Amino acid sequence: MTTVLTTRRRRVARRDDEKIVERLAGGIAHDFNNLLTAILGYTELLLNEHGRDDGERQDLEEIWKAGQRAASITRQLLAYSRQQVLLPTSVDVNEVVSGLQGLLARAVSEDVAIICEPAPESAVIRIDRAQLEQAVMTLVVNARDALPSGGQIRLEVAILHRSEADMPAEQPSPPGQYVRLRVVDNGVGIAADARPHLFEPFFTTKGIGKGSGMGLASAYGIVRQSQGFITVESEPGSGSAFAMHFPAVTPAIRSVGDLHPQGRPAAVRNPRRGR
Amino acid sequence: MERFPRQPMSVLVVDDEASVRKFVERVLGDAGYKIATASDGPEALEVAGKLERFDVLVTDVMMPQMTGDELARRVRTAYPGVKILYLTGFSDRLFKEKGTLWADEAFLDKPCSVKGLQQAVSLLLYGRVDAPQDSR
Repeated sequence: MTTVLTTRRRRVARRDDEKIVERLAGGIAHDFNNLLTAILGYTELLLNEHGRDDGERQDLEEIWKAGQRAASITRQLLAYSRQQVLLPTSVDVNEVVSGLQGLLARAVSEDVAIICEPAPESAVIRIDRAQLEQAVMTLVVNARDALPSGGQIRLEVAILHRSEADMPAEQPSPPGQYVRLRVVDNGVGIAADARPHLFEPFFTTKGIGKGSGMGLASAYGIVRQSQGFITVESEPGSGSAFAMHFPAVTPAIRSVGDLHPQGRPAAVRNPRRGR
Repeated sequence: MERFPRQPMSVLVVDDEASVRKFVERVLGDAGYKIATASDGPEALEVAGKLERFDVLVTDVMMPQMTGDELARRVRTAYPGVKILYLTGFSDRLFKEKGTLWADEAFLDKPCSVKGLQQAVSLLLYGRVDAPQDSR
């Protein structure tokens, strides 16, 4: 009894900690996005005034590149904080995976095979497609980094019934039909002591300067904001499997829920236009 | 027949962060729009009352005193037809709960590019990314 209570208390404390960190991440991202608007914006204005052969242009390009990198970390912070605007549409995970296959193949070296195993039936969920793609990309890049001497990465899509017993206690979700997208590699695996921290922001096993430590944290935020959950299984020496679960959408919900057209312009996102 | 110079389209820029306000003012000013600025919602309403014409509101969403969403609601009531562009650096809960955008609204993620900003305003005003040169 005492153990159960202690575990529960610890879980509550952990969820509180998580909320504080999320709020902090969101606040930092807010301020940084404002500052980056000015930094990147004025750099762009200066770039427009400098010709290709201008020596100063290279310096400006370096500022711009570093700013873009900072913006990408800020985006991941926002994803982790679950405070970004999402434009969810009905998305078939099978299609997303097969659509990404070419891009994923280019992201890995030749000695890594990417194998896609779609679900036999359509696997529709409600999600911001760009966010889902970002999360898949993150998992595949991590899998690639776990395969320094080659191997294979499998992307498996399945539709499963999940009960509470299948969900991590700190990611409560309603029981029901879920679309599971698993990214499985046969790489170096993850040490047991690192596993509890994998989804924490700025946690990385990749060594200083190699990873921002925001990849899995942002994937976690994306999955949670889409009412799903994410799990990991790993065996040091034989590989890892990350499984994102999203509530499956039934055809009835699908027909009334799909309000936003695909293919919005990158800069302006006006869901009303052209509907 | 005497020709009167056409009045430029007028944009009110509202952001509590001065560096963002200045940047947006500079970029849209360069594009030929007439710019007014305010650092929060109440000031924006005051400034709007003094404008000769008011075509576009470019506003931050998370601001102290009055959110961009609330400001937009009041502007829409007082000045029907004004187009609204939200600059969303921090896509707060309020904005998320809003669900859908009105027909004359759009939003642009911060940090936004020079081109992205000009195109967004142009898209709202003219329905195309490149504003016709003589209509501003």
